[in-house]
Amino acid sequence: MKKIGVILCICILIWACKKGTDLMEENEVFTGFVQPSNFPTPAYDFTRNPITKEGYELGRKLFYEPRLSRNNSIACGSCHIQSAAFTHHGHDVSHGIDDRLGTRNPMPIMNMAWHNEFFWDGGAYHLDLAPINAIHSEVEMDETLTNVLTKLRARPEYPPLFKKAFGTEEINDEFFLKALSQFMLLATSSDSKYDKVMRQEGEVAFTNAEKNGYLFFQNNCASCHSEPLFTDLSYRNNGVRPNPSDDHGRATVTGNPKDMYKFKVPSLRNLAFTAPYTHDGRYLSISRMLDHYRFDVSDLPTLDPIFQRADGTRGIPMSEAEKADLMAFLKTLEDSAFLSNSLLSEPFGSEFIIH
Amino acid sequence: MMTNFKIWLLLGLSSLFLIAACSKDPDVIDESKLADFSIEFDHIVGEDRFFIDPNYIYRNARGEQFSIRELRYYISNIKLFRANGLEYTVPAEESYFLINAGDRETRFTKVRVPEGDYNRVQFMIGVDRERNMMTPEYRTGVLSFNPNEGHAGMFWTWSQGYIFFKLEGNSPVVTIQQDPTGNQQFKYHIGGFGYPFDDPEAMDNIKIITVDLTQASGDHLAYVREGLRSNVHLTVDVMKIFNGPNTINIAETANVMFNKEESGKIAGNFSSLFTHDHTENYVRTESEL
Repeated sequence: MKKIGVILCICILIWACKKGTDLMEENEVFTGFVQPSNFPTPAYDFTRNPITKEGYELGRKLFYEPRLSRNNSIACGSCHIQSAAFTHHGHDVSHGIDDRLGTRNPMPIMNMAWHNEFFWDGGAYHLDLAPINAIHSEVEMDETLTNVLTKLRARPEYPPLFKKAFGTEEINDEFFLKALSQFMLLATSSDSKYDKVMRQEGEVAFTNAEKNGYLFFQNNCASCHSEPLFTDLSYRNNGVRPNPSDDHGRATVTGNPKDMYKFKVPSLRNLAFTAPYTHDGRYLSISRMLDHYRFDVSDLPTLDPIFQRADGTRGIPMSEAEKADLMAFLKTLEDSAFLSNSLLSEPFGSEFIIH
Repeated sequence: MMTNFKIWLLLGLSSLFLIAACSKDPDVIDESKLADFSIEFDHIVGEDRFFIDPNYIYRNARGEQFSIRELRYYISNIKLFRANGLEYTVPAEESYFLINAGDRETRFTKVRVPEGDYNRVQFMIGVDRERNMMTPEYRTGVLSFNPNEGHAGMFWTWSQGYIFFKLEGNSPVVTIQQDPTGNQQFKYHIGGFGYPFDDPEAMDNIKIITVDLTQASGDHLAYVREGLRSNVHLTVDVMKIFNGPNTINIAETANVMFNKEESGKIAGNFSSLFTHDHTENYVRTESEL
């Protein structure tokens, strides 16, 4: 009888374990890149870097690989945290290697497939080249891509992963960057309430407040934060007065005085999770960000003309009621499936813990 | 009758002779054949030899003393011209070279070109717009980030683009404000490919250099023949960075990077650096050079 009990116990244990692994696999069904029906054609050319399960898995491992930084302490995922829509939650500016601080708030890694240029100033012209900027930045990873490749070549686990993904054990910049892109391209946020309403999925509908907020948004915000990405991908000066670091924004890249203090229009998707706001993270809440447009638009020489009003004032007039409605609408851009998509999370068994 | 026969015989024999002579003649050009051609970049500093040596002190026109720690630049988009105006463009992907003045192995740009007599060569200092915008699979070899073969830092990562030309060294005229490390370094990093392209004022330091091979004394055209190598030997006078058409004073200009006016002045001196010294033709092995 005792024996049977032991055997039964073992059987239950085996079954339990098995179920566990099954569940894990169920959670991590590889879908590849899925084109949302309410989104435009992606800017990224997938024909030259087709997303494969193996390529994505390598990219995911690299995204959470601290060896990308000089002292092996910072991974991409350190400042681009999934639960914060791949931004650095709670940090006004990026907090990189040796606790060094940058001058800018990290932009989310979200819907990158539809972007042609990257970062607040557009300093990278292709998604494949974007990670180079962060790896080399002395306030972020302070490393060189060349040295990262040397470090990865010395790790026995990587050559087989490159072989699985790209057919060769050679670890070079092209495959490294393509793998990271494959991972980032899967970071699509397209399942917010807004999307479901637009796609007329099921019974999902805006509340009255959301509807009013959407109308206000369309009339006052959509020219820059255009749907469905909620950014027109342009660079604009929205009247945020320069801080003491005097970040010139887009002009840093173009050298053009007309681009002074212009920054890329950020997406409003998952807004609640990407606090703080503006390129330097000065505003801690959405409410404060909206009040900027109501009260604090600075009269800078390169201020976007859209903020100049006929009566000589600047900004976007907004009553308290309109603001409340707008905030209700902005909440419909939250996409909890994106924040918990296990395909994008730190891989199981990773030796690196994001903190 | 006899005379006629003799004349015919003579004519026949001489034609045979001519044909034989021609087929042996190395100057029959077959443009379908590719042959080795190189440009050699031989560095000098004014009337001094070039040394990467902190103790070898040069002096520019202003009398500023300096030593050289690093000199690297891209040569790309090589083109050759013939007297009859025909030109040959080396395929782009075979036409990117990174010259490192501290490594003699890099002093040649070795390409394959059709047989011919060339009287002009052209190349770009830097990397063209198109390549600067390309995805990683088109940035191989010296354009890559790969260990042991890549660009070794000749790339701006924050406003992305290749650094075309990099000259670094030390000078006692450099102040602590100009080099906060106290090492009195001067650094000239020249790049800028005219991005954004819709802005005519964008920093564009791409320079195309044309070298006329008829100006050196003696016959120094490039005679490119299959199985042999023709090498156009240029001197590159680094002093011209300071003493070229635009005068550069280290005391005033110790750091030049992403600055359109100052980098434009230095890039404006590029064409004055290169002088055709001679051409080595019918070369069998590199040891002859």
